[in-house]
Amino acid sequence: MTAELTFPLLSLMIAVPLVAALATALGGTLVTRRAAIVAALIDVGLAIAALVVHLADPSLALADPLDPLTWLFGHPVLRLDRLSAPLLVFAALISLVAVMVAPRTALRASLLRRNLFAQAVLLATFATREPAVMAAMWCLGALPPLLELRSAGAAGRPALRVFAIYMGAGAAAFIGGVALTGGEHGLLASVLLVLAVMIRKGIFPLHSWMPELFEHAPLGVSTLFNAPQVGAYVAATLVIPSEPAAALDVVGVASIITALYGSAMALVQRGARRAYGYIFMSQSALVMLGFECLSAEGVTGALAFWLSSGVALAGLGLALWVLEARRGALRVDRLHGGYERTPLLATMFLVFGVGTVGFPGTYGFVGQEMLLDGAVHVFPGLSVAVALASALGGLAVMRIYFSLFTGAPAQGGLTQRLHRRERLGFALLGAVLLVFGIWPRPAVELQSAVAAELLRARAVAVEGR
Amino acid sequence: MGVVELPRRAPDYVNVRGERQSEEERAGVLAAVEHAAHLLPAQGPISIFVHHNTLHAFEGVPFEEAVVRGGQALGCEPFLSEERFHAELSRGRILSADLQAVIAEDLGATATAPVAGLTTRQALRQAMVQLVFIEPGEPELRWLLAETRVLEHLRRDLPPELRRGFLDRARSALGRDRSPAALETGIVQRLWTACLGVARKAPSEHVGASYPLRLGDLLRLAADAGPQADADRLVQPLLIRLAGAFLDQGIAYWGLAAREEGFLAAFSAVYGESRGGERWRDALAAVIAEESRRGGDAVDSVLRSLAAMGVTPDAYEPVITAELLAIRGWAGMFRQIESRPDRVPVQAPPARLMDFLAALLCAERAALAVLAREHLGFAGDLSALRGWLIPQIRPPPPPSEEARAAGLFQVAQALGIDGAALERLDREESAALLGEISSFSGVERRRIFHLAYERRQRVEALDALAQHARRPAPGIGSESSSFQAVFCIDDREESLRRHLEEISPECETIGFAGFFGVAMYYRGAEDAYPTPLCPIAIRPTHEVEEEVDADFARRAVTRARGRRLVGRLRRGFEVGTRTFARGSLLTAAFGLLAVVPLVSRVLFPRLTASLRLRGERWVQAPSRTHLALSRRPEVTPQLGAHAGYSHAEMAGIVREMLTLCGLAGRLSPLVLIVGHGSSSLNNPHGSAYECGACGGGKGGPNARAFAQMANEPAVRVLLAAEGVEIPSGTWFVGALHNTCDDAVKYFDVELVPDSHKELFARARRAIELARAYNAHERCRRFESAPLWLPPMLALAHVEARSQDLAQVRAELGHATNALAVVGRRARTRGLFCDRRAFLISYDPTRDDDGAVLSRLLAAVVPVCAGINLEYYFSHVDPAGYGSGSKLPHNLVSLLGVMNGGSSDLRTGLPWQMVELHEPVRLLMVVEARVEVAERVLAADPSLRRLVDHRWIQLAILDPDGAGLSLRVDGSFKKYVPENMVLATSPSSSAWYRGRRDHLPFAQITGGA
Amino acid sequence: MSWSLFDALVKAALGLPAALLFTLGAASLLSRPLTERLTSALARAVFGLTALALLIAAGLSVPLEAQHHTISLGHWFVAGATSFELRLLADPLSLTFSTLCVVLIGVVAVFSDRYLHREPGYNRYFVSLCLFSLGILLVVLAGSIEVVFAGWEMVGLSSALLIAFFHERPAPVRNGLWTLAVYRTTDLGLLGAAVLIHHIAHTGNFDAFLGASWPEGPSPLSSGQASAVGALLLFATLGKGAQLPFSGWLARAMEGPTPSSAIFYGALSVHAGAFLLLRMGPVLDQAPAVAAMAVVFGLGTAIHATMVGRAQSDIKTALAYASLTQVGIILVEIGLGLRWIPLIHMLGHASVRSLQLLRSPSLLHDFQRLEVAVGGHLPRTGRYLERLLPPRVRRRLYAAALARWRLDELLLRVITPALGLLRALDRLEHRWCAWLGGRAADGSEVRRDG
Repeated sequence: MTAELTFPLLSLMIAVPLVAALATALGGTLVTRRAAIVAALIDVGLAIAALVVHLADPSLALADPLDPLTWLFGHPVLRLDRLSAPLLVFAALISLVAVMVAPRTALRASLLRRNLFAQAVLLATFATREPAVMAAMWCLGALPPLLELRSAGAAGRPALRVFAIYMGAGAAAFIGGVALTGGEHGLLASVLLVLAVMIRKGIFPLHSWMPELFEHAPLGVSTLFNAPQVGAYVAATLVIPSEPAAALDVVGVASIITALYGSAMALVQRGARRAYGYIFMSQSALVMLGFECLSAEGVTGALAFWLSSGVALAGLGLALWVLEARRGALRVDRLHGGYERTPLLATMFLVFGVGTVGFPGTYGFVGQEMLLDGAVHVFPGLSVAVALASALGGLAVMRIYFSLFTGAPAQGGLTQRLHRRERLGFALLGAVLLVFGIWPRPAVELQSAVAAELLRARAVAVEGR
Repeated sequence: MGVVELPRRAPDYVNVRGERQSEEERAGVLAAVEHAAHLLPAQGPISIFVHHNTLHAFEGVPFEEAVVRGGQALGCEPFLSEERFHAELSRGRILSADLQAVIAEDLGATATAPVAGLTTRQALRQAMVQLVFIEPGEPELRWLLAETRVLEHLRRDLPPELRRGFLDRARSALGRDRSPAALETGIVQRLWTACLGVARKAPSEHVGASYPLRLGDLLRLAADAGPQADADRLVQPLLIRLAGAFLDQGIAYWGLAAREEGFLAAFSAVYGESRGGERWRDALAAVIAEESRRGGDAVDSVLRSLAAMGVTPDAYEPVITAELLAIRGWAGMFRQIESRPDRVPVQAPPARLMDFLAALLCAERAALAVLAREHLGFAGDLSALRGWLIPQIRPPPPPSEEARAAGLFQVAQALGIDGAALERLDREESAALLGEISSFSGVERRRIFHLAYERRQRVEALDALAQHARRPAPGIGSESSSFQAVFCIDDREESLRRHLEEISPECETIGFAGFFGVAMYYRGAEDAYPTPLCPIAIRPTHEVEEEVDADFARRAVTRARGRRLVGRLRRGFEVGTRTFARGSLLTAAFGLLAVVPLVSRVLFPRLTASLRLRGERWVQAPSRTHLALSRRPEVTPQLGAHAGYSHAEMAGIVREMLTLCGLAGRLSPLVLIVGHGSSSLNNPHGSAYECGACGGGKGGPNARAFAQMANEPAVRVLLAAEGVEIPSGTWFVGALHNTCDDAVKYFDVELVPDSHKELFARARRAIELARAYNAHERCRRFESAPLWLPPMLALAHVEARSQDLAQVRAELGHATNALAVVGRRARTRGLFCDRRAFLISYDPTRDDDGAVLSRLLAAVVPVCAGINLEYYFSHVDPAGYGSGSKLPHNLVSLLGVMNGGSSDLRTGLPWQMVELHEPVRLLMVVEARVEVAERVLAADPSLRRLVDHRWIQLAILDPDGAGLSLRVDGSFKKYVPENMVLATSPSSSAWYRGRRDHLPFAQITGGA
Repeated sequence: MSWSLFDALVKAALGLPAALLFTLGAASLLSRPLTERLTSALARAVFGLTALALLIAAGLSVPLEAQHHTISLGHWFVAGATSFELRLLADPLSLTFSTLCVVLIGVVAVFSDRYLHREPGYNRYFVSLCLFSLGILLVVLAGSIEVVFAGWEMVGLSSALLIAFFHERPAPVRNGLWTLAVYRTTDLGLLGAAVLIHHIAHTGNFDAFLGASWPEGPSPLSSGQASAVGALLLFATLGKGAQLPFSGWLARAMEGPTPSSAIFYGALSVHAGAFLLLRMGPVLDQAPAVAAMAVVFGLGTAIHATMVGRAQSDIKTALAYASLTQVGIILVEIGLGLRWIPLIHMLGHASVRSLQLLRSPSLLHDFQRLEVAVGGHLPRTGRYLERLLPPRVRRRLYAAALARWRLDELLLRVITPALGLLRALDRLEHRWCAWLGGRAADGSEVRRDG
């Protein structure tokens, strides 16, 4: 009954960036960037092809003849399903834009290669459901930021340690959880997995590494590490089907607290990066909240908000990166002026900003509406906090916007318009955000089917228990 | 906010609290406030806007120095930005030759001095202004180096021959096998490395630390807490709100009580009570309580506040100045009302600058103490705060090597200097080169640019005048004009006069200050009370009333009654809608009716206006009126000493006017006296568009009064006795030209004798046509008026503009003024001056000793220079000197405008008014012989100060020929024209049609 | 046939401004902003046609007897049991108010075209104005609470952006942010009401909780439910309508260009809250306590505003408070159970006030003309107070009015400690990371107050 398409789509997708990284091992920055852009473009193309193939016939199984790990597990490891197909596009897109807009002031060949590596790891993560592979990718994924922090020298040392401690703990929990799954310590396994996810998603109180990372690592690297929200993928594939009911509530409440805490903390930050870090933490936590609702609305909302917040936050972070390259370190407790110097960047920043907090007309609004609907049934009292978090988040975003782009223009300030590649990169992300904001139906339908699947899987697992 | 070097150590200050303030210290404060007051804006209530030099306090120093010093004191720009100047350079408004000439003149003998053996000072400076020279901040520089191709290519704007030179030299050094692109990159990178090398060799310049004078600014700097630690944010809204209420002329429904006790008392009464609000307000209440316990007057309070803030007597003046300048709009208004209460529209409150300062300092004391505690944990006495803060401020880091090399990198390219040449430089040469570059700072470059900008305009004007004088337009100089029209000297009348003379060659126009010598308090038939109509410097002694003719007296009374009724109803509605109960009844019951005027006024402004006018005709005073001009000893005037003029006084006025403008003895049968005014809606600055010589009023009544005086037989008899004969066949008619909608209204037409009726009708027809052409010429500057409009539609367009609620540029005022010509009309008749010239009539042939010229210049120079300089400053720094964009303006107290709900009063001109202006100093060309001009200058120190400190440019035109001399460094130097060709055009409209920009001079050959 | 025409007209009234917003926005995002001339022509066409469409629709509604006609623009998205339907409601309330909205917006757009001629932010202004017009039309024509919310948010953002329009100066930016803070906080009320309604009725459609025909209702909600929903809605109204204790922002909002102040704070935005309550009238009918609260807040605001407004000496602030006075009274009327009177009051007041604000730069001119008409200085106002009150009381009242009852300070007394707490938490975070990262807690990287 299952038709099969034999084409090494997924393995190619993972191989391309790795090959690009290897091929340019000795190349200079510019060559590497070109290679990285090409690699990301190919990946986006492949991912879209995969999505189209999948949407055309959802029953079509994709057999990957080059799947490198089949021999080890005895069955194909890479797989394409309704959850992963859009995620691959999403991950490839963010990688593409990150390398496109990366400012040359921050650019080194090593950073680009690390990004390529991160891209491969990310795609591999989203293309598998094999826990062991995911665990391996989980560990590998943390390498690029780690290396970046290390190359920052003494100034990045404390942040490096904080990051290493948290990621180490997270990885240990994840590996432990994976190892114990299916055994007699099923409960412990679930708890460990939940812990791992909470760390990786920066859920309160396990979040402190996140603002630190954003503050000290290059924004492109930290954005690429966080924006795809690998933690959410793990939650969707490994945690939700097996998570004990009590943990659900704990994570749900913790997510709400995170959302509120993050957006409130963003209001009192002085540095733009840290403020952005807290906004990131706050908004991405809402995704977890949606999953914990275990209702069709909630999970669909989580999936929608996952993508929308991922895109919007990536755009916001990258816009900040690009702006930093032009102006140096940015503070948000004063007005810098300079709207006239970079009008388009200001507008894009505003679009990503309001998209992050779910402004009507952006895809974020759709996700947030469903999330709230889902949350109010499960956490009726606390859903006020969700609303408050989104209110404060909006305020924090506007505060950052105003401080970065308004105020008296500096005398003799140069016009620093966006380059073409920067414009193109931001336009891509902005278009995704706005097109699905105005016409969300196809995306929501797909996500609602995925949500139904996830919930069914959980129902099966719970019954089985 | 001035930045002045102060001792790093906190000065020891002997605390005098609780002691009686010594007379010496009081005198110190009084003197300091007096000094500071000179720097405050001299702008009075906005309803009587008077143009004046914005930096009048600095007239004692040369212009170029004054703008820099004034700019520092006020935080404003001295010249246009380099960016703007570069735009002017690239569009040819400034020529390279101008820059060259100006730099050579500026450097004098040192122009050819070599710099590091590579170039000369002249060439270096020329290079730094010729091509765009930027000084980016550190992050911007890093971005430029990394993200743009400055290290790959030679700069794009390099002239081709320089570029070729670079490439040729590199090719001969490196061989021919490299591609041009690689070669170029090689050159550029070597040059950059060499520049870095030079920067490394030369020692970094020491940047002295300087600290803001105001304690509040210092605190903000030290706290590094953004706007949270800004005392102004706490103090100013409080003070502004109270000041607005205190000075209010009728906007607020409830006035501030007990204003007569002064501002300080009101301040204590309103803010003295604390009911547990913000912490700093409690502190303020405590300060006020303490102050009232101590007693004394405002000076005592200021002294105590200064002491509390740790200010030593030697710093009184700079600190008080800085404090007042930080809120200079309001402080200036207090000062203005204090010194000229007669200019206040309704009722002058007892405003005193000292009170304002005392209140300001009290509030600052309280705010600073609280902020210092909250943000810096400073718990000590406020007087020690300054000394405590200064060590906490980190000095800015010295500029990086890249930053210092960046300037050289640009200059080297512009001069064609290779990397190799730079590599050979030794330590001293490197330092000399970098020093020379940094000595030509941004302000210096802009000064040079400005001089070049002015030079171009001056050369064009003088060349045109010289050519025009040498080869006058055909028909000029015939003495047989059948009517004469006297206009105001205003630059806006230049075009009307030109068109009138083109249309009617039998006409001669004259320029005279628009009050025509009639300084009076005037009360129109409808007016509620008399207003002064004369230059602001004059206080009139006479009052003149307009009276309705006896036949219409009854109608006048009924109409006045109707008017009052309508007015009361409107007022009742306006006020009523703002109240509680009446408001809800009115808005609910009649509110929707407002949609009608709303839609019609916005969508059909002209139609609505004409309908409204038609309606208002029923309540207007009858048009048949006369001026009660003759002396009426039995009447006590409301203002001034006399009601009406005696015949001798009238004769004096007429004689003076006829003599000054050279009309005496050559009068035509008909003389029109045309005053001017302007009417527009949506324009708080409306008064700035009116006649400056009438103190921001309409000059119609003055024109009418003058005509009536000159027509008076008794006056003519007196005049004849004094040798100023007015022929019996000469008749004067007064008129008013509205510069906004170009309407011309005539007075006392029914009195024109039959013998003159035909001539008057002819003149009137000519003026009808001329005003349409005038509107036509004006419309070319309005982007919203299509260029194809014919004159009659242009007239409709300007009429609609004047009635449009949404129109923020009803007219352009004096924008573009640049030139003033004092001399016979023949010297300018037929010369297209593009509405940029004040034209003042003067006949040098009848003034051998310069007595007339002296009187004339004393009257017109301050007016023209004031207008010109106000436009200069408001354009150069619209936010600092001007009042910014008009769009957020908010009328406060009927005295001035603020931005939004609470800001400093915005003085100066709004951007929409000065947008098109070219900020150049006025070029004054006087037709006089050198000796006469020297004598006049020597006799008038204030005129000499303006000229020799270069606030205006002065040139003289030889009355007997076409020679010109320019005033340079205190003496007249012969001017040699650069361009011997003057464009010609058959008519004005042929010259300007289809063009929007400033136009060059041209000789109009068709008319005259 | 008529119904389909009617539907098409109402849809066009929403679609046209949306299309304009899209065109202007897309052009600016592509760095090819439309020229002034084109923008103005498009705006005239769009708002002219929209006004025409709504006028015809209003005309048609009489013969069609459109008392409660819903129009569906289709399901925007569906997820689980939730469906987000774009639903419009055409009834006498929405038709009259939306017609006025479009007429006023159209007039202001034409006005602004001339007023903002050559202004660098011309394009930015028109984008914000379009966003606003779309938002307010969504609010007014909405047939479900979600649509109201979407419009509500658009109104809020465009409002903040236009207050901060002159963004070179700090004051407009600061005040824009303040206004946004008030909006975002009180928007929680609307969001909460929407969620609650969903929770109760599983749909946000008005029919589910308002009953069939405005203004009669009756709402199917129970009294308890109605009270909860009503209280949340009232909270939302307090913010948007600048009622006590949030009134301070309205005066701060006068930083923008005059025409935007006129349309937002004289006419439409400030009435949005009252409109919402009017729309939700049936819920209020079920919740007498909330209605009473509305009366209390409205009356308090009206008294506050009329007092404060009378002491203001600048015209825009005086008009802002005058506006507020009437909005407060309208709220009282709504609370008292009236429906048609507040609607007419709203329409009338919006027209008068926007005209007054548009004329405010001509005040000096008007003042001089009035003096001419009256034949002397204008009589002093507010004298009766001097007769009625002893000076001491008068002074206190005046001081309170001048200080605007210190409402903003009151809000700051809530905000400041909250921010203080957050700053303390921030310091803790830094210390924790410092400790974890092996860095001294007072190491070089630690800031003075975090």
